[in-house]
Amino acid sequence: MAEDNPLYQVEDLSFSYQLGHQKVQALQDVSLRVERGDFLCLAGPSGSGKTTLLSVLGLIEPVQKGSVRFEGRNLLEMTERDRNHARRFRIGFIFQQFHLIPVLTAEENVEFFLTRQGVPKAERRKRVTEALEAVGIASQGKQKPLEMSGGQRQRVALARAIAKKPDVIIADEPTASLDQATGREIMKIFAEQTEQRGVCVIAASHDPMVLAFAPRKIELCDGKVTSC
Amino acid sequence: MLIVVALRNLLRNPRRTFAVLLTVAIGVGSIFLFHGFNTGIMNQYRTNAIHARYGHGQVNTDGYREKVYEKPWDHWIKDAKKVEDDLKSIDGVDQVFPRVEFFALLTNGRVTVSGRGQGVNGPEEAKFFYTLNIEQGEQLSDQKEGILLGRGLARALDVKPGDRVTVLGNTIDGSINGLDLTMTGYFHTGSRETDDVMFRVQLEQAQTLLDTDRVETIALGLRDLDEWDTVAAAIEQKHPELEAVPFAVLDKVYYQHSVDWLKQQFAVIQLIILTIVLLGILNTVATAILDRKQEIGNLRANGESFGDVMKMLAWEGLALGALGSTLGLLLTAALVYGALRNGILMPPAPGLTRQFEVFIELQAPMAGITFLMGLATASIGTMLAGWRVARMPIGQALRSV
Repeated sequence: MAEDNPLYQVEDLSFSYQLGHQKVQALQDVSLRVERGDFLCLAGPSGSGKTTLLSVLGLIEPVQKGSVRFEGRNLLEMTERDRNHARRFRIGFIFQQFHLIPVLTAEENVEFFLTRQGVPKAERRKRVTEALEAVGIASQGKQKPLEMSGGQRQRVALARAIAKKPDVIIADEPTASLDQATGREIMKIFAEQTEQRGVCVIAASHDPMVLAFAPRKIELCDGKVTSC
Repeated sequence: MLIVVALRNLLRNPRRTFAVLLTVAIGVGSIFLFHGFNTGIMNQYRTNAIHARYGHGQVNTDGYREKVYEKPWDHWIKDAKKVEDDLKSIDGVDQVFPRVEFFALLTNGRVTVSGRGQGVNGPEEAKFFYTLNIEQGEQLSDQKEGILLGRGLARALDVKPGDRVTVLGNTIDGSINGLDLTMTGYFHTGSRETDDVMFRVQLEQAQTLLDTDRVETIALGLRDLDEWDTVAAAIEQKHPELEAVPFAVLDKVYYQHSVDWLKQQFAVIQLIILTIVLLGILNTVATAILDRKQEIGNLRANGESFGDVMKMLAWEGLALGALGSTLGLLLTAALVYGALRNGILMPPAPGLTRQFEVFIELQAPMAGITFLMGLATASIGTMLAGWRVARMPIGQALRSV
């Protein structure tokens, strides 16, 4: 059944950026298939197209050439409203630079998108507490991002992503700002999410520890998949 | 939650927020102050027009003002005493002032000049027409044979209070008639055109000179200017042969044109101030929002639509507008009721020769309007500044430095 209806089906995806007068080919004829519950790591050097592929899978960048299906739906056929809805309810993001809302506390940062999902207050509070406990920073819930270390901020970003109860977590260099021990803990949380909730995790990283942790790896080089 | 984020964003960079608040406050305060100043000037003009010359309005026979008659006195109000009593019985009418106007020659025996006389009820008018500025001598009140001259006339005749002045005119039948009167004083309205020709005598004297018992007009003193429309309707219902004309129409050249001119000037200045405020807000807020590109990209990445982001920015703008406008109104009120409580001495207005004092009159409806203007300008400014960032492709916003 899963084979017939993968979470993502990418076929011949190409993507280019215009940098001034120069066109940069970020992805070239990328094809891959991602199942629900996959824990997938995109590897490759800087500029290999990892972040671009994550952005397309996260419905952040448009499909320029080729085809991407998310839960069977062709992204090109989705309206902006559909994409907003999918990003709000189905996809959790963890960015390398965290992108927390600086004027909100850790708890509020986690709660913000739940409010926007329309989750009732009691349920929101429960999910916020569980998510912060899961990432081990429940005691820093009242602190604002600027009062926290990089590792703590990354945990808040992770808590924010898992509290949404998404189908897929898209993580770009999730351990880049963390020490090895914290990075390992984050990866453990990802693994728990895939094992216990069937969440698909797609992470892009250079970190050998992350690559070692992920059961499935896709290597990119110059925008092309070199190994799956 | 969007509102919470929007409001907290105001505290993010207090100096920048303060700059925007000050921009809005100065803009709103300036418009409010300028409107109060204009209202003060207009009220001063109105008071001057009503209490120097016209009363709140005048009653004459229907159509009298629009036409030129060979024998105007044939169209004057008959049975004036009864009409006066009828007018007095109308609710809102406090005082009535029957008048006649006529042209005559004035002489002191050596010099003869022409003038335009008004026959008035001296004792009554002295109480109501208090802005008729008496420069020397006294107002025409109960001096039966008194004459009050305009400053220009008095100077031309070279007379002073107590001197005898002879008024020569035609009766309505065309016979020459004359009055020997004593000058009570001279007045200075500020309008040279008036001061050079006008003089006042008692109504009975004027009627004797003209040999008529009719009156040309009856000026009215109302309990309240706002009651004019009701009073005018009642007059025209009771006396369909009469028409009631408000002072603003009677004094169109001086009062109504000044008011129209001031209003137009106010509209232009208001537009200039609002444009400056809008540009100030655009500049400051645009800088602030450009710093938040990644944050806005993150909101969009997590499912917030362009509309949601604009909504958040609109809340920020509304908050800035509300706080800035409140600050502006309070500062203006403090200025007006503090430093400017004694009014501002103004140079003579167009057509006038004397200075006058203006009291800035702040009005509650205008406070509401300027508050809303500040609110709208700040919101529009914030949303215009945020439009480009909110519309930016999410990936590009997230990659921004």
